[in-house]
Amino acid sequence: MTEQVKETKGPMIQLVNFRLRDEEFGVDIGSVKEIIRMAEITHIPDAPSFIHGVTNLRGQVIAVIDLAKQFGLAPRQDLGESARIVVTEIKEQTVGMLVDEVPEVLKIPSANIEPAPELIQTEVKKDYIKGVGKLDNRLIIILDLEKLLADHEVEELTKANVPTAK
Amino acid sequence: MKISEYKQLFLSEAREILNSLNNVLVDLEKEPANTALLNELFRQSHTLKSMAQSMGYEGIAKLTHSMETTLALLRSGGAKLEKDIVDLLFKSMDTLGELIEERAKGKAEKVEVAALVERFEEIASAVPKEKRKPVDKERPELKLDNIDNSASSLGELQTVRVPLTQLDNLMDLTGELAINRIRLSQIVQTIADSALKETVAQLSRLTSQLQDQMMQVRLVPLEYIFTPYPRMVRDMAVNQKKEVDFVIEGGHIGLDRSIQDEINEPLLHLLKNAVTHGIEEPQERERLKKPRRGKIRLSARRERNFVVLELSDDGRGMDVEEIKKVALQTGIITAKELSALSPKEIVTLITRPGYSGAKKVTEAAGRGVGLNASKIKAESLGGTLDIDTRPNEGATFSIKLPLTIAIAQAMLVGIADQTYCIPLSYIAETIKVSQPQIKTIEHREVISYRDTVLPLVRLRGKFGFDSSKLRSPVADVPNGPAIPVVVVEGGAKKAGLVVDSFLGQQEVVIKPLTGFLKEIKGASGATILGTGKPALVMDVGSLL
Repeated sequence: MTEQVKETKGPMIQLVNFRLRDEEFGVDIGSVKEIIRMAEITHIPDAPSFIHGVTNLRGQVIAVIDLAKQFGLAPRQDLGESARIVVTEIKEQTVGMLVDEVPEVLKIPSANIEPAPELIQTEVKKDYIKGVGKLDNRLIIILDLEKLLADHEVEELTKANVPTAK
Repeated sequence: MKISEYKQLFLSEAREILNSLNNVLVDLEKEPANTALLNELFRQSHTLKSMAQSMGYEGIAKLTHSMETTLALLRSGGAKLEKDIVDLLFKSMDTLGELIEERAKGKAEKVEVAALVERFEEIASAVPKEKRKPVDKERPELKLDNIDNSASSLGELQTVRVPLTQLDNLMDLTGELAINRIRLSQIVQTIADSALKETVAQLSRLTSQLQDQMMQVRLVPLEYIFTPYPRMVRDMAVNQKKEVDFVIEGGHIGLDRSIQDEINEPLLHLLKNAVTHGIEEPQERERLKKPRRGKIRLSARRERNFVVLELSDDGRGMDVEEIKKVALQTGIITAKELSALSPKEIVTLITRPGYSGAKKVTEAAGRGVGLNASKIKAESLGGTLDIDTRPNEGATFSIKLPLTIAIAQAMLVGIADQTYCIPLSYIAETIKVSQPQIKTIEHREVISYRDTVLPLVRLRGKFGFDSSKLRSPVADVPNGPAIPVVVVEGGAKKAGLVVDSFLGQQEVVIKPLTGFLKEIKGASGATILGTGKPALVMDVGSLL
């Protein structure tokens, strides 16, 4: 919690802030269940590329998705000590997101969030961006997890309907 | 109890009553003179009415009141159970169902009941006045002490309604406990302490018992999914102008609820097929010197750790020769392959994906789309789907399902740097095959196995591990060591799965893959190994 908010005028939004490569992202704290250290991941054959694998969350087997891959960011060399899995719960589905680092939980005044993603250069599909939060000199891309996951489901379903030619 | 809890109680009881109302009416339609059924219908409508009144659900109360009035007239002989009354009653039940579901969603009752109530009133007004007043002494069910009795009979069962999520949590925890028990047993083997060993052995026994009990708790009578079927079959038959007697046997047999949820759709599909494609029109049946009314029988029985569901009809059945023709036309099989199949195997061709999509499927050979999906579903649950049929005698579809999918004996195998589980129920045996034994037929690797040709499936390749970094240490070396092969069978098919190593056998707690993992091919679930790492449970059916 390094960031201190100077003024608390107007409504605030709480975000879990994380880093993927050189970009900063945020997701609404309400959709985050917990943040865990990098755990052992089991590979899944024939899975779409965005699925990194499954991991064990206290007896529950959850999917871990690789956001960097999904966003087309540079491949990671090795997962460092700081790598984390952000466990989210959206539409009753528990999904882990693999990120490089989770530095902090942020409070941003709603007024500082702008819907227009035009002002930022990023690989991330605009559909997935809920808004961009400005805090001092930082730009934080706020993700729309529901859209992100909904897209995965669609992709999965179309994939499942294609007969494999093996 | 909170209001919301009363509501939940109302909803679950109302749904039960509605199901049973439907079934009683289906029976009553067949035996209009059966007063016991009529009384039952009356009693249940009345119960539903009282429940709705106490909740203040006006629409449901009004409609059930109208039903009750008409039923009273039927009982007193003032009105006769004609077809239009039966239809009206069925329609009212459908409307009740809609009203109940609206309440379940927390909405007000939007569905109109006025038209139905009016129809009931018309019926009542058509009855001569002297017969209109239901005589009170003919309504013994309505006396207070009797109602109390029916209510307390529920209490005598000494059961508790528990939310399924709580049960699932208990199951998860029991599973975790079992996994830790296995881990503990492994650790203890390295420690020479007899007291510790004894304690762990005792713990193991208790954990197994706990798991068994948990499994029993999850078993729900098959009535859970069977109950709506009679009404559905009746409606389908009426719509298609067919006459069908539908019998259910073994509805009390218990089966894991999650399996029931999964198998419901395939069963519905088979039922639909039986009415639509199986049973002939009444005239056709008479011409064939069969009883006018077709018979469809759904039965359940327990066979050790499996439940067998059998759906049979005495309809037109399927002709092996016809199936052969269609199979060849659609190109799902070559004449050469066909000649090697037994009649039983030929019948299973109708479950192949390409078969049912064929345009020219004849009545004698086709059972519509979706059989393939039903078969896949049964197999993904660790079960099988078998078909037995004779032309003009009917068809029997048997679905064999494990009692529960939660816990299974599995063999652990190593593939590249991963561990996979293969359920023992699929495994015929494990063998080691030397390189020269492997032959290639039509670009497929096969070995000769007990006088048959067994196709090999190299799981490394199948699972996408064939990068040079992870090249198999054994599989590709000419004259190298023998290759570990797991011989699996599912349905009528067999295959040899080539793995890197056998890692042993153990009990695994199978957890379903949910969300978008659901569609992953090749895996039917996951388990957590003693090391805490998840391992996938192979969906053997999809590999065959």
